[in-house]
Amino acid sequence: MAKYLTPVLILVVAVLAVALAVKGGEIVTGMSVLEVHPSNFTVSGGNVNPTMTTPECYQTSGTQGALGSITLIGNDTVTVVCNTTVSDNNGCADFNGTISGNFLWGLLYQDGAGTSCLPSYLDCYGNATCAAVGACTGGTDQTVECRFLVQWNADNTTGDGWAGFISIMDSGSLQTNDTDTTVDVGALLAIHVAHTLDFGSVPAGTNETNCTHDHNTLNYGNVQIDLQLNGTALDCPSPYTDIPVGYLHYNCTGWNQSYASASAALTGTPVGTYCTGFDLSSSSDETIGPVPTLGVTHWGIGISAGSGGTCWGTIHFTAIAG
Amino acid sequence: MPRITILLIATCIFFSIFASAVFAGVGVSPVEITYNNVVRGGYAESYITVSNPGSDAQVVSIGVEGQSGKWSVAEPNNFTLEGHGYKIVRMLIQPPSDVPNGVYESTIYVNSVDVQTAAAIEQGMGMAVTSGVGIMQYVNIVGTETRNYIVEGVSIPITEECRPVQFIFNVRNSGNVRLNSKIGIDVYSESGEYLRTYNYTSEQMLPTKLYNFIIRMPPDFGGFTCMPVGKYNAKMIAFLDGSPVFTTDKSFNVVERGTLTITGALQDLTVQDKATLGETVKIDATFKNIGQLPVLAKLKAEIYSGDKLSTAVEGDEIEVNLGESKTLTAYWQPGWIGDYKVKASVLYEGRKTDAKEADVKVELAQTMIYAIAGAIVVIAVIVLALMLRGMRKSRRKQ
Repeated sequence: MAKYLTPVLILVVAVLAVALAVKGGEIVTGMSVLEVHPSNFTVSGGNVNPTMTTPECYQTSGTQGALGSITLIGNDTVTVVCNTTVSDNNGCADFNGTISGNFLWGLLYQDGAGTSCLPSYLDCYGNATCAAVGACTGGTDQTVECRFLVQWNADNTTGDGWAGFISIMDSGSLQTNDTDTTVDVGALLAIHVAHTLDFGSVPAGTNETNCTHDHNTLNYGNVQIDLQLNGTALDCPSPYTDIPVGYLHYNCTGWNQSYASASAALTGTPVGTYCTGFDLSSSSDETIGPVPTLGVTHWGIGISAGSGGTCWGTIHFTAIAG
Repeated sequence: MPRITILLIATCIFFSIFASAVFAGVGVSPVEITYNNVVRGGYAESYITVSNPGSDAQVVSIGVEGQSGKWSVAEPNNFTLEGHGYKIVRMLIQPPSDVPNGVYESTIYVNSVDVQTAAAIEQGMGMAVTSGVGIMQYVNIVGTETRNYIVEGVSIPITEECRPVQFIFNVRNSGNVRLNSKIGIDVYSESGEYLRTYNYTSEQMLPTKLYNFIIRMPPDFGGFTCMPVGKYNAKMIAFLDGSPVFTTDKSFNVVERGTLTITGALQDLTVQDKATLGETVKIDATFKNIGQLPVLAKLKAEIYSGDKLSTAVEGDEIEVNLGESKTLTAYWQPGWIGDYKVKASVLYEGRKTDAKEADVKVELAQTMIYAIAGAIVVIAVIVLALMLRGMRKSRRKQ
């Protein structure tokens, strides 16, 4: 029995020694720049994790909304800034190289897209310009910001919020990040229409057979639109009679429809029911453009008997969310 | 019959020659405004951003139609937007004191027409297409008063030793009656030692309106004659009627004097180019704080007649925060007619911006011209009468 005891004890001691060595190695590995003294593992300095205040995102201009409220502008971009203060007890110098070396980065994204989203004008802006702002304060604190150019077709918050994320890594590859979860991208209604509608030549006292004159409407917003249409009578000089507003007919969904039976007569005040089927969606372009979507209304005209001279009038296109 | 054919062809020619590539367009965000819990006879406001998606300048007009249309106002409600420009418009409602409770639905119409077509319509030429956007407005009128406000943001910009510390509060009155906000700020050293409490009572806040309160705490506090360099912590509590509605802790830094830049720029000078004698001339200057510290700034303008300094005027001193642009104003009353040059610069924190110049021609008012002419005529008549009288007297003597 005794002859087995000695090797067993040696084995136990060896196992304990290995365990202690491994444990000590973990400590040394986990804090790679500590000064380790053979006698007692005294810590005299080293790299520590940077920290960050929760970022705050805001629009630089074009809005009077609350912090985090983003108001888009038709056919243009708006600048959204997310800023935060990062701190490192190793001093701001620990950040200097990493900020210039692109280890400070930001992401503005819709919650549903997530932080691993692919770049998209609709819901994922990773192409931020990030930089330090102002001087280091207290030797340890540095304000940093990331700027995003947000397109007019970015998804509005309805049903799915947005967030602004900032991450920074120090020279020892220790990283921190945080997110502003209160970003709100507002809905934008925006249209663009050619200012003319060409009916060509129509004999007085007759109506066109079908609505064949097209008029284009572009959607430069981030919501689907319907149209309300109204106008004025065509005012003809004396002694000719005016052309009533109702002689202008339109169809919002199909070309070459009957003037008499498959179109609506224009009215003096907006009509909210006829063009609800227009349904012009917003641009879904994600990386190119974005290009506005195009919707077409189709028009026909009747010329009352007795009309003549140079007549004039106005057709008004009103976009409503729909 | 042939006449109408000629008419329509003529119309087409007009458009193709003068305006074939012109577009009308407008964008508005948000697309719906809801006012909850508005009290009768009260007040509420919100903002919309109107944008021009095209490159042609647009004439924009705004109107509200529907149940709350009569007590809804857009400010401004008529303006021109340059290509790809935008404007922030304030929408406000002031329901009458006798309006019944309920939800009032209206549509805000933002209409646009390109400048060229607007002119053609005014002259009665041709047929035009105009565009617009209709956004919904809902107003919920209630009979009960609600007192509440929300602190939407707090920031403490870095400052230098011996300079005031600024606590910037973005506060919105979320109730439906006017009220004041009271804010208490406890300042601690980094080690947690209590230094001082600073209290602030805001101006009266209108319902729904967002305010930007800048609380300036002087640097001589907590036993310091001048607040030293260091890191500090602030515990801030906002009160309504004695009860806390918001609490936050934030740290801030005080750095050595001279660390932060103090810089401002005079961006624009606006003065009317003509004025009449007796009229007060308003001198507006846009000043932007492009430094790292808030500044107190005022406009100083020297008025020259030829090379000779005629007079100098100054405006009130106002605070301009980091990155902020503000309009500084001074007033000048010309002493006499003539051609004047206004040389304006902004004084801030012991510094002065480069000057900008503008010319003003001061003339007599039309009524004054008539009055002087009348006076000359009266004097001439009197002189003539006296002369005639003298002549008659001398004849009698002869």
